[in-house]
Order: sequence, then structure tokens, then C-alpha cells
Amino acid sequence: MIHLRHWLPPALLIIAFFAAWQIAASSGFMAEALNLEDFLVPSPAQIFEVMWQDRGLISDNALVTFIEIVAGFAVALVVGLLVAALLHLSDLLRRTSYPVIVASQTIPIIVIAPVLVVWFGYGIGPKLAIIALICFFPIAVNTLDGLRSVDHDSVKMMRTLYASRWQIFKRVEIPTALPYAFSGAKIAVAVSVIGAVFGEWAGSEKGLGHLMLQDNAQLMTDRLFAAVFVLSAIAIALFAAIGLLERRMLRWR
Amino acid sequence: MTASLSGREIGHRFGSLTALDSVEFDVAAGQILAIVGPSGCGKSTLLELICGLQEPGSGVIEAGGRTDAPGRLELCAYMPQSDCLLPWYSAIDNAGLALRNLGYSKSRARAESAELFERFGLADFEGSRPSELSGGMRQRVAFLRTLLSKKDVLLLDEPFAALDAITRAELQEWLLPAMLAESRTVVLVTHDVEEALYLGDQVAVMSPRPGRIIELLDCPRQAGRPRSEAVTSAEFTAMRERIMRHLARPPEPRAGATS
Repeated sequence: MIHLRHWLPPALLIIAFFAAWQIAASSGFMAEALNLEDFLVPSPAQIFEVMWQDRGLISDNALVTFIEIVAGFAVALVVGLLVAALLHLSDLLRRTSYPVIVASQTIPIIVIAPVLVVWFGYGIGPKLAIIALICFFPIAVNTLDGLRSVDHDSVKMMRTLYASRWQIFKRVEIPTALPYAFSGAKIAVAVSVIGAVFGEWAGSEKGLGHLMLQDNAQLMTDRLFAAVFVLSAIAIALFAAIGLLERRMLRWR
Repeated sequence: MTASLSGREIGHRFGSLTALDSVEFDVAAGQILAIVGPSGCGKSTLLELICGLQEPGSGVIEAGGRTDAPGRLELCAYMPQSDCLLPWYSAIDNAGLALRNLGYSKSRARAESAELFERFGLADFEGSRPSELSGGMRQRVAFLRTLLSKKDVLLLDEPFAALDAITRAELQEWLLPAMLAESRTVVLVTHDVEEALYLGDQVAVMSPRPGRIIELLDCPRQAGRPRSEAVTSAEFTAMRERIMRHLARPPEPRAGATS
């Protein structure tokens, strides 16, 4: 109940949005305005009904996508933090490889995804690569910014208190960078679901993205939306999980 | 465990800017040197050079027989102008940082720090986060952190500059016996003339950039005497006037100037 004030406004907004959608769709207003058949413009009630009817199919596919996202994000987290630390510790490395890292983000994912499927097949490999590629950037860049924002006087103070390079890194630089790393991770997890869908569109046999493609081809708009809802729910849940971890780990803030 | 400190012909430049010019000083073991000067005169730079965070551009600095920067760094502890308490550690863990860096276990570092917290009137604040402490308390913890390094030489950079006048006076009265009881060699930089005179055994007056020591005064120890009484004595006032005149004077030409 303590969190009611916190949760009530967004909950009301979502309810209002669905209510408006429900009225617009079930009254036939939306279909008429778009000049479409009724079944192409499902109401939220219909979408949730389909979601329940096909719960087995949707949850099987959702699980596949969820695993891809978590694994891809984990790879990005490890690589992103490691790269940030290396670039922070070596000036030479930072100057030489920063442009390469920025360039990695200019690769159009939609173009590279089919190529990855050709290289690595229909399994989880290409999806992992795409999700990790998208997630890596915000994590690495934010963490590096955090490491570089360290207070120079604190470093000097530590140096006169016997601190080794490693102890300065551990006791001053990492805690300074941690809030930045969490910001990066939150951005990364929000975009990770898009990476998963792109990866599945390029070639897959399972997953929510795969289901969306099929539904789209069969004009099953209601189940398409059901898949979108579940995908959003996954992103929100992961975002909330990181937020929770952040509050636990950054108690001093 | 004390070391003497001296500087000969210290000069330092930042690009085309001369920050320090032939600075000389001698501090006997266990003595307190207060350096007073206008802001931007290179006082903080001088402290960083003394404690071996970098080598001076020219001249020699010696601490306890060591003249190389790493050697001085072994002997000197530095208290920066901002308290630099790390917000992710409690007060006692901040104070014990040097011990932790030396490899002490957390509990051993805490036990040793707790003794000083007790002795210097900080008991009950051990577990507080820095953000929960007042400005004065934070400076006390920062000083204990410097003290707990057990180094022979303490270099204090405007330790009370950020505090209001009342708290500053209170902390000066607290710091003086604390420094003397520990018998360390101390260099204290300040822009507060009273603070310099009250705390220092010697007061060095620095000129505006390029920083040079233009006057050196010996002052009697004020320990045991209430601050309010000490700073109003005739002798103290006379010395303060004298220093104030120096600080008010416009910068002299580099060479051949006489007053």
C-alpha cells in the first residue's frame, strides 16, 4: 500500500488508454475511420481473449524470446563493463577504439540480421549477437562516462593513503561509475526486445517475433497485438528488476 | 615517529604560468607550519608537491630524509580541500581507508578507527553515512582519516574553508590539541590569517602568483588556551595586522623590489 501513490498514476493512465481503445474499437468507430474490416481492428478485450485462448502457444514463444533477451543482455553486460574498464584504464586503447565502438552502433541491424542468420543459422546465435550488439553500447558508454567522472581529489587522497591502482579502482572508481552503469543497463534492456524481434524476423522457428510474422501474414491482428503486449510486459518486468537491483546496490544515494 | 620537512628553491610552472617561485621552508619534526596567502597563489600546488603526488619543476623537497616523490608519498598524508568522504562508506569505514588499503580486515580497521572516534568526540557517529553528517563532522572524519594513515607528515589543504565562522572556530579549537597529541609534522594551508596564527608554530605568508614566501613568523603555541582569549591578545593582534598588510599589498615586481 505504501507504493500506491507511486503506482496509481501510471496504472490509471494505462487503464484510461485501454478503455478509450476498447470503446473506439468495439463501437466500430476505429474500423470505420480506417476504412477496414472489423477483425483487423481488435479491441483490448478481444486481444486478451486470444491471449488466454492461445496461452500455450504464446507462452512457449515468449519463453524463447525471454531467454534470448536475458542471454543477449548478459553477454552485453559482461562485455560492456569489461570494455568500459579497459578503455578507462588505458588512454591509448580509448583513443584508438572509441571510434570503432561508435561505428558498431551505426550498423543497420535490419541489414546485418539476415547476414548473421546466413552465417550462424536459425538457432539462438544470431539473436544473441544482435541483442548483445544493441545492448552493449549504452552499457559501455555510460559506464565509461561514470568511470571518467571520478573526483580527482578523492584519487589524490587515496594515493596518499597507500592505495594501489587496483584499490583506487575498487573503492573509488567502481562505486562512482555504478549509477551510470545502471542507467546504461536500463536503456539497454528497454531496447533489447526490439533486437530480439529483429533477430527473429531475419530467420527463426520460434519466438514472439516469429509469431508476429505468422500472425501478420494470416491477418490475425488480435494475436499479433497479444504478442506485442507480452513483449512489452517482458521489457517492463526486466526494467523493473534492474531498478530494484539498483535501489538495493546504491543504498547510499 | 616524526619527520622533518624542508623545501629549497621550489619552482613550478603550468605551461607559461609560473605557479611557484623559489619557495623555501623548514619544519622541524612535530612542528606545525601554516601557510597563508591569497587564493590562487599556489598553496594547494605546493602541498601536492610536498606530499609527492608530483615532482616540482625545480628545487628540492625533503621529507624525513627522502627527496624523491615516491619516498615523500610514503611519509605524507594529504587532506584535500573538499572532505572527499566516499558516500558509499560509513563514517568509520571512510576514516579507516588507509588501514584497508594496507590490507587490514574490515573489522580490524574498524576497531582501530573506533578508538580515535572515541578519543576525538565522534563516538556514536561511526555508522553514519557522510550525507547524514554536518559539515563540521565531515571535516573531523576527514581529519581522522588522514591521521589514521599513521604517516609522519600531514598536509592539510584549507581544511575548514567551507565551514561557517562559528563551526570553523570550534574545529580549530578541536584540531590544535588533536594535532599536538599526535605529534606529527603538519603543513596547513589556509587563507584565514587567524586560523594560521592560532594553529601554526610558524606562519609563512605567500604572495599572489607567482607564489613566494614573503614573510615567515614564529608564533607561540596556543594550546590549552581558549581560542577567544588567544586571538584577542595584543601579540596575536599585532601579528595579524602585520600579515594583513602583506596580503593587502599589490604584487611586487619580480626583481629588485624593496619595501
